[in-house]
Amino acid sequence: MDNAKILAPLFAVLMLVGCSKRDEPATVPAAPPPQAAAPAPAPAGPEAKPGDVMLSEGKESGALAGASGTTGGPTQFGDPAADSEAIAVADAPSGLVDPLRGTPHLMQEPRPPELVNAENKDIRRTRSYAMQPPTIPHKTDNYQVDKYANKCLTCHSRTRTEESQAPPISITHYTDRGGNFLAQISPRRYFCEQCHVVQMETKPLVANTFQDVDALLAQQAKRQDK
Amino acid sequence: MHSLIDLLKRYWRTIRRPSVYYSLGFLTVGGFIAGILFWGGFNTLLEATNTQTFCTGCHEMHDNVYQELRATIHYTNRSGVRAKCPDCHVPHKWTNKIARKMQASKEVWGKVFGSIDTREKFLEKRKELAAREWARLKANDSLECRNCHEFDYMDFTRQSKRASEAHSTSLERGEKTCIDCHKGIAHRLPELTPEGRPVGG
Repeated sequence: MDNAKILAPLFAVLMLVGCSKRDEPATVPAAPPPQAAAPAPAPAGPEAKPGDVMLSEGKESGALAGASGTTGGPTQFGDPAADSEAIAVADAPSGLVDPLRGTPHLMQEPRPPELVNAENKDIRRTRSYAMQPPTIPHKTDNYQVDKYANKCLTCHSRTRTEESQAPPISITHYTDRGGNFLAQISPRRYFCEQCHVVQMETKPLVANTFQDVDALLAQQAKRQDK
Repeated sequence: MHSLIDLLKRYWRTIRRPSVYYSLGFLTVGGFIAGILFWGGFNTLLEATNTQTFCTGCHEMHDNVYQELRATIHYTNRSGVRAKCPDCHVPHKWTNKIARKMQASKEVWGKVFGSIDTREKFLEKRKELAAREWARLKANDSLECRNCHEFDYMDFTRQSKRASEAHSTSLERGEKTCIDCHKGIAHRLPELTPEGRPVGG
């Protein structure tokens, strides 16, 4: 264990050197760490030119938009503590606002929003986009999902569908990451609440400008008509 | 052996013979008082073993099942009603209670020989222990649940859609009993298959 701890940084340095200076002979990595580590980050910089690489994939651009949205402006967030304990927003340096904690001074304890019960209407909700994991329309308090048991699957598994009339887990949950079909639910899809979550009637912590794709398509069609 | 039979014969003769020294009144009243003492003592002792304090007196119960219970609705809730160990695990009717208490002597055996005296042993054995409780509740139509959750008193309009659907059909017709759906509500579940059935059972 101790050996591993000591050797780990050494290996990291060796790997960095190996990546940045492939043309050099293998004996070179014996170079002192400070010099070797310093040039390593440099090659990564020019590769990632702003704009072109990040926007090539839909996912990446989405993540980018989300990130810029959260760091946008501190004033647009609903601050649950603002009404009772008005604390100067100016204390927070702009752009560094925790939407969960609010903007009070570090030494002050903000009043958290009151807890709400999860919606329990059992009515399936519209998905915001085709690939969205459906949200859970019922309470899941104290549902056990661990290596021993999965409470969700006692209704949502393939063989329980007739009895429970709950939607069975989809085919995507039976494939491993190589796209091979498995007989039972894939371990990587086992923890339901990583993607499927209950919903609560509450004020959103973060502003959201999401638009349904149908609305965008309608806008586009309108523009083309003009 | 021979002397033992002689001894028993002597006692039998004494018991059969009418009392020489004690009056009938003394024997009647004395017997009555002794009856109250013994019977009361027995029941008090029985009730003492029928408390949460007694159940969680052993670390096996205190560190495993009791800790799991504490987070559930049967222990912590808005209205302050609490179901303690014997409320669910011991029948309330006297004859059934005595029968269950006699079965529980097996648990004394388990305690003495440490059948679940570590967390690992307990997890290993949980499937067996849970299956036994499930079978017991299935056999008595979830009697311990129904001591509080009376079917006739349920207001389906106050239940969620899913709950009222299940209760007004399968439960009403007697096809299912409480424990069929409500497993693992007070303690963690044993190992289940992904289809929600006990592994290997």
